[in-house]
Amino acid sequence: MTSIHIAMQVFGVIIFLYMAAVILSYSIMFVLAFRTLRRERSLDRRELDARFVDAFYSKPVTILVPAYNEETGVIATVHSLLNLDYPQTELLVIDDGSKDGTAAVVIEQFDMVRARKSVDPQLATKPVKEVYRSRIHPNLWLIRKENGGKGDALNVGINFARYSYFCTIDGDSILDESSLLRVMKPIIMSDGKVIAAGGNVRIVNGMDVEYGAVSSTKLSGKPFVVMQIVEYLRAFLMGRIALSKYNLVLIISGAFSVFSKKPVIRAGGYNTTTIGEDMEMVVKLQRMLKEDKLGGRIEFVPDPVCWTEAPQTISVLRKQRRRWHQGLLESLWAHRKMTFNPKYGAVGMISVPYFWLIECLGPVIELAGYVYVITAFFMGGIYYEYAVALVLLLVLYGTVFSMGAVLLESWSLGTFPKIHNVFRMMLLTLTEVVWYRPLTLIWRVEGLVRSIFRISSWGDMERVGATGTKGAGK
Amino acid sequence: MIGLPIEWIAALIIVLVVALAVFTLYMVIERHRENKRTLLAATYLNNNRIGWYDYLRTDGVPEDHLIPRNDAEVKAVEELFRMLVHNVKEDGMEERISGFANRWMSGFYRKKLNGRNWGERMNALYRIYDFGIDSLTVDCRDMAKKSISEEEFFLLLLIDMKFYPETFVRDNLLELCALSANDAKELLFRMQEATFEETVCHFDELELTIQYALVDVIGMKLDATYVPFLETQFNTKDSELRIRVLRAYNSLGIVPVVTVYEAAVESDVWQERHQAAKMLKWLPQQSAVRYAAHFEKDDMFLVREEAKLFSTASSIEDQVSPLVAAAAEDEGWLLDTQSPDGKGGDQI
Repeated sequence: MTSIHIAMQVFGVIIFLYMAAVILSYSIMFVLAFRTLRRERSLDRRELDARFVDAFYSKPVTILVPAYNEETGVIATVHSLLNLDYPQTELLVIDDGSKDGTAAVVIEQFDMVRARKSVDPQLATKPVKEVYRSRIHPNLWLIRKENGGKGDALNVGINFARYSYFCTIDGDSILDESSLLRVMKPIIMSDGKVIAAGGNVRIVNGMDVEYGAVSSTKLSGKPFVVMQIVEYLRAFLMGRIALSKYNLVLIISGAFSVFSKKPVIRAGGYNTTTIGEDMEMVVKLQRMLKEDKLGGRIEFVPDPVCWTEAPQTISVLRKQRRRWHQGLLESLWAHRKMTFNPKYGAVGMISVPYFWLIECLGPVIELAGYVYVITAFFMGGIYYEYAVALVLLLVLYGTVFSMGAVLLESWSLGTFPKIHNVFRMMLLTLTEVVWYRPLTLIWRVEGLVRSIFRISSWGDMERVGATGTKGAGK
Repeated sequence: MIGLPIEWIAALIIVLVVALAVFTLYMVIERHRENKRTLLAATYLNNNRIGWYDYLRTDGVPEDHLIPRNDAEVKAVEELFRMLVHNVKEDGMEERISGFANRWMSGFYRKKLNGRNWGERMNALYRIYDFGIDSLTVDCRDMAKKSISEEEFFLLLLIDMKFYPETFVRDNLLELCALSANDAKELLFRMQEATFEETVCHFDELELTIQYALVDVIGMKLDATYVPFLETQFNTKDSELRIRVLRAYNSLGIVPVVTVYEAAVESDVWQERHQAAKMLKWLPQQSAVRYAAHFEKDDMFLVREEAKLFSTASSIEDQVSPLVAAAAEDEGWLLDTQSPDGKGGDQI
């Protein structure tokens, strides 16, 4: 037997075992997510909303909206935040040195004037230039600062925040009316034991948006966007629900999450040099909770929804995925001592290794699997079996779980009430393994390589204003 | 064959695909049934608008066609009652809703209470409380003996409190200690006056978190009759309780007796001094100015801030800091936040 044949067989078995392990993990997560969603499916959430909408029982929240070149979407975002069903909020838009007219449109739209605001500079940041306050909505502020990245903008927001809890929202995202109430529920109910909570993020492209609210849910006509919708469903519903159940969450989306200010300041605030500051913050908090034996929790809540704009072109999507993966690797590397370290409990023994092996290195192995399948078919003989087995696993992993996620969402939360939209998503997932999946794998591997060679660029996302199609005030 | 279980994987995929197909079919049928139920409910309400108006506003005698005959009609009545209970306050309305729900809907909710679905049990408990279905209180007490979630436990206590206010404290005082602080606050706030008074009498038997919640609720209720009670509680050595007492004074808008206030002013705990500083606005002018000067030299930023806010409160809008001497248009007022000194606190 030649060395090539030995290598092919060994490699085939490794990929096969890896894929089987991934499928097993996802199956467990799917079952856990199913059980959680089934439990809450029939609950009349209006009753809980009604309980927490009373200022006596809720906690005031400062909402931070870091914005960099968000001229197209920021007005709709602010409208959606002003419409929130929440008794006491303060809204800070932090213009991170935008080169476009982000600040100008906010100032004009909300009739803002220069003002002064208390600041408790506990986190070091780039200098702040100006503070504005709306004459129409006195709880709305605009803070203009020198460009320093999203993490730096959030740190400025934390310094200026008046309340003990802050919520981060991306400048191109919009919230459902009751989203903040629902994401705050675990924090309020736990008497502060839950120190951070993240909500569900959905893609707004294709929906009708009026004055910062999604007025009707439609499925985008672009397969590229639909595949991203399915991807978000899979990641948020399957992965995060299960991890949250056992306090294993290492990422809650920066597009919509709430944090207690005290532990965040104690952890040193947001990292301003890393690409994925949202994941970095959560990992840092988990690490601090274990090292300082604080016993807090970080939770994901599936029903509060934040709508965000997804990339519409391949080049923008490629940059986004590359950046996400760079961020993932950077965070994991920065906290590598947690890996398989019993000192960090289940987070160190399960969560961090899961993120290393399945989320971070997964694309390399999976992509190798694709290459292996092609090579094996050319080599023929016994390698056909490997190839067929791997193709089947890829189908199981890529298509069956995606279809399951679509069905799970449709059954439990029902974002898309029209059944033909659900069928369209399911049909499209059948094609995922042959085009969308390999593409995203290549980009994620590219992100890994860039991270290893320390190549870093943000890659501005070109906004089309999907969150502000109507009535956005532009 | 090299031992790869291709047939097994293929079989697994087929099984999963079949399962997904069945699930899809189930979902389609469920959605169809749900749409049908919604339509039936809408038709029922539309056809019985006048009947319901007569029952709820005038005679109080339900006609036969108002009695719900299936789940869709129960849901329709439920929506109507829910809307009225949460939005309309009218003499006799609650009694009529309660009368109807007890007579014609309790069977439906009893079934839900005994069901396996947590969400439906929770919904049933909400309705029992909202619609005043006292015929199910025994079922609720039975349910409390089973293994239930925290949310169900809280609702069962609310229900017990609503229907048995006289015996609630006697029966549930220890149970209160199992509540979260937030739930305890809500329960205490919703208590009838007599029940609340009785709970205050048992203050020492409560756990600390519930004691804190009770003191908070005194502030929330804006009821000055409990001021002597607060004064007594301030003698405790537990600084958290002392802070809560001072906060309650603040909510009530009442300045405590001099000994209590002085103790707060001189406290080693900055939160107590902070609460005392917040009370400056209630003090007589001369004393307030004296204490404000004292607080302006405090080590803690928030205490200094309160004192300074008091000093210039009348001239500047709430929340906008009055402390920077430079005018807003002056570029020199900007604070470089790059070098926090650890003391914290400034304004821009």
